[in-house]
Amino acid sequence: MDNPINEDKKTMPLTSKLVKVQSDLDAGLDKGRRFAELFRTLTTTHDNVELLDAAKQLYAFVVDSDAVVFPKKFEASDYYLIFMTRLIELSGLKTKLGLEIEQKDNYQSLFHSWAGTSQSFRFEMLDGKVEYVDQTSHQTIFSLNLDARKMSFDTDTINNFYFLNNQDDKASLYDEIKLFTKFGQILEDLYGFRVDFNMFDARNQKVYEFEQVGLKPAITDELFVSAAQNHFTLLNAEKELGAFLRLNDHVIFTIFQENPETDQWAIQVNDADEEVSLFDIFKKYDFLNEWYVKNITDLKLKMLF
Amino acid sequence: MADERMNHEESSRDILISQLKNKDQYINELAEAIDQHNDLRIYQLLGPLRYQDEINNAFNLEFGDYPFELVKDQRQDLAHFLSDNLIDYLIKKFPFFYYREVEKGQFKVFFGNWWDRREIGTLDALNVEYTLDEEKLEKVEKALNIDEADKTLNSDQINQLSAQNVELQKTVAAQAELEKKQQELMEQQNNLADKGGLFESNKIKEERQQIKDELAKIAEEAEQAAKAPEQIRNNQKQILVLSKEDTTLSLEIEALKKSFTSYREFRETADQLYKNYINSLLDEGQVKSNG
Repeated sequence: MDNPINEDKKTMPLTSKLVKVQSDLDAGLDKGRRFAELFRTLTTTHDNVELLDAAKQLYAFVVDSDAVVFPKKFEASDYYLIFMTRLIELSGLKTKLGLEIEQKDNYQSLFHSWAGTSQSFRFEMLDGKVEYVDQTSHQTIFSLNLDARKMSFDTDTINNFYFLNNQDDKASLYDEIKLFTKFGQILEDLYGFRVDFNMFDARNQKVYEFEQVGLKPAITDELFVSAAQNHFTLLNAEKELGAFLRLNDHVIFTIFQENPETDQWAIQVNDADEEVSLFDIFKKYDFLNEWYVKNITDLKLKMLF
Repeated sequence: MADERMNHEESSRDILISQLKNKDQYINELAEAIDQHNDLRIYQLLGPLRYQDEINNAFNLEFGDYPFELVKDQRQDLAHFLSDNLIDYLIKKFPFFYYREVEKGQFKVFFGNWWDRREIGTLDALNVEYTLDEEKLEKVEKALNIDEADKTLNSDQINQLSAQNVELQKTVAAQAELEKKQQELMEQQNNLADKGGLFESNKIKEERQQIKDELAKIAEEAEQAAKAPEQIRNNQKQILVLSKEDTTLSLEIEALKKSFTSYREFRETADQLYKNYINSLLDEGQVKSNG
């Protein structure tokens, strides 16, 4: 095809520059229109596939061009926040999550608030990853990648946030974890995301592997002693090297050598309804929580990706 | 006569054949008893002398004192075979003992099903005997005899180590204070050095010595403080070992108390295993033939 501008240049050399401006304007406005369409889809669609698609496209979308600059925009990671908000809404989850908009120079920032607390969260770009960050502590709660369809909860955050620092409002924290893991489950069910729920995974088949290889016998000995002080007997595992506790409500906690060749150790939590995660166990039993905190370096969980 | 061999051919052949027939019969009866899983009969055939001695004085030693010598290479297989019913019986009598067959017919005995339970001995299924680790059991007996509340075999030692750690912790905490004092003294020392000179007064000499002594004392204390963290860790390790032993012992005692009224009763039952087990097999036979 012939280039129309070159043609114009030939025929009307004086106005060719203006025509170029005009065509750039058109292109810029088209881009704006496309942006508005995607934004409408993201904010109003009831179709899950469309919703994810719009969020992915908007994340990569550069709406400004040389000719047209839009004054009201979001940061790329904010589309993740809108996506998350809408997905939670569409799934009919009851939540204390609120959406807040804050005007910042040329940008408007989107935040999540949590009713009854001063906490706020937002998605941020960190080292090329999009992370959901607690704004007070600046701890990453989880990373999300809509393109690669992955979500993962961060081990260090779990340790720092929920174990090493004393938090005042524990009830809210646990509610938040519930919602965020539910969000992960929806991503899994609806879109086939790979989700590393880390310590929050309640499925029985989940093997909570330690980052370190090997396990000092003293750590299991400590568990044996403190369990006994709390009227639980740490029983010897028959099939493999390890031990298990029969906790209340038929919940079984096992610490075992998962792979004798690599000396990889892990924990497993088993309950009939698959509703109890390792995190739940630690928070329900003080002696287990204490034991974990005391040996947190050795017992630190490996992240899947 | 050139041939001076004893000429009892007929009778020696008879004797030989009769002896072999007796052995043949022994093996047949043993095989039959195994086939019927008649463990009582097997034990009678296995050790008739002991049976006569401990169970029934009138028992007939028709196959001699030690007929099992004949098939002694079957020991392991027979032990494995007999252990089936024997361990079923033992689980009822000593529910806290667990068995692991380390080689065919050879069993290690573990006390309890908890973490790092102690290996307490071995079981000989052929002779119906435990060989128990006396040293380990002695500790159980000792712990059982403690009748003060909140006291355990190791509680005194644990308390002592814990108290020591509290003191060591204080030393560590005082370290910063110590360093500050050291700094001050060294400054004083320097100041005195400036004042020195050829005609140093006795007073300054005295003062200097005093500072020197104090610094030496602080250096010693600082050395102690530097060692404290490792000592604390070592004490903690030792406390863990002791608490673990206490925990194990308390579980063992708890288990014993559920099945026996006293340590003595437990030991008597364990030491007279053969008698008890064979009698229970006899009772079983009684029940069977009555029923």
